[in-house]
Amino acid sequence: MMVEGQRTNMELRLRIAGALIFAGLLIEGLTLTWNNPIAFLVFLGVGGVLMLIGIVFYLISLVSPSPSP
Amino acid sequence: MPVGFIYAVLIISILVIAVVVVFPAITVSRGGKILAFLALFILPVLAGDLGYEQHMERSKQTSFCLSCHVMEPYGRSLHVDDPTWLPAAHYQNNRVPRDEACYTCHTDYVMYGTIKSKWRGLHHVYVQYLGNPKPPLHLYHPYNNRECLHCHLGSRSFEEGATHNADPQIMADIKSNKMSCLTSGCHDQIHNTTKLTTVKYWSQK
Repeated sequence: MMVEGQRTNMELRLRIAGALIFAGLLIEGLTLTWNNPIAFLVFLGVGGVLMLIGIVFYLISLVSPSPSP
Repeated sequence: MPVGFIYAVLIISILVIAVVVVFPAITVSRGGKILAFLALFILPVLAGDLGYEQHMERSKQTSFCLSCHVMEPYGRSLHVDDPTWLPAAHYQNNRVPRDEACYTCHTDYVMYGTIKSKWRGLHHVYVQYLGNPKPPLHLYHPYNNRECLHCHLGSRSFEEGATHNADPQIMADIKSNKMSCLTSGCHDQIHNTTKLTTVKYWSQK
């Protein structure tokens, strides 16, 4: 039961991290089609930040203790 | 770096992430954990780095600089049909790469010069979108001969030029930036954006 709970919790975290990184990469990819200073700002300020949050969230979820049942 | 490769890394990253997001249960196994680490750390960092490099390279392009409305007259000045106009002569005769004309002359040829240029570029973006830039624009610092000498030093026209060698002190002053190439009266036809309505333009065949 506890293992199941932990797994669900980890899966949720992976999904959140994955969604954030997915969105970040998608935005970064779109900015590469646009040759403008705004594209660079969006790349860093939106895509980069989303990706960074997702990666940090994933790394923290790897080392954080699982919640008690 | 070819942009196709960057897109390939981005697409592969997105696909692998999608697998982990849709089937998170696969991370129970050892292989799944490795796949998740690859999808959520290694590949995004690689794709982000490649994308950043690509944006840095793009920011050197003439078209990138001229994408700001305030820079339009400076771009036009590159097409003036007059060899005494310094930027036009450099641009039209391929003395600078045409697709990186602005960057080639306006970067600092010193250690961390590229970083300083990028930092100035960010300030330009700030002024463009949040400030009120009014032409004619001015440089932050007087133009340093070092940027000219990065290419011209050692070239025959510079080293053996009659005016440059009229007095040994002149050459020394040019090389030490005591006498400006641009404002000393010798090569002073720069972008001259206020005169662009009265000049003839070169039409590239």
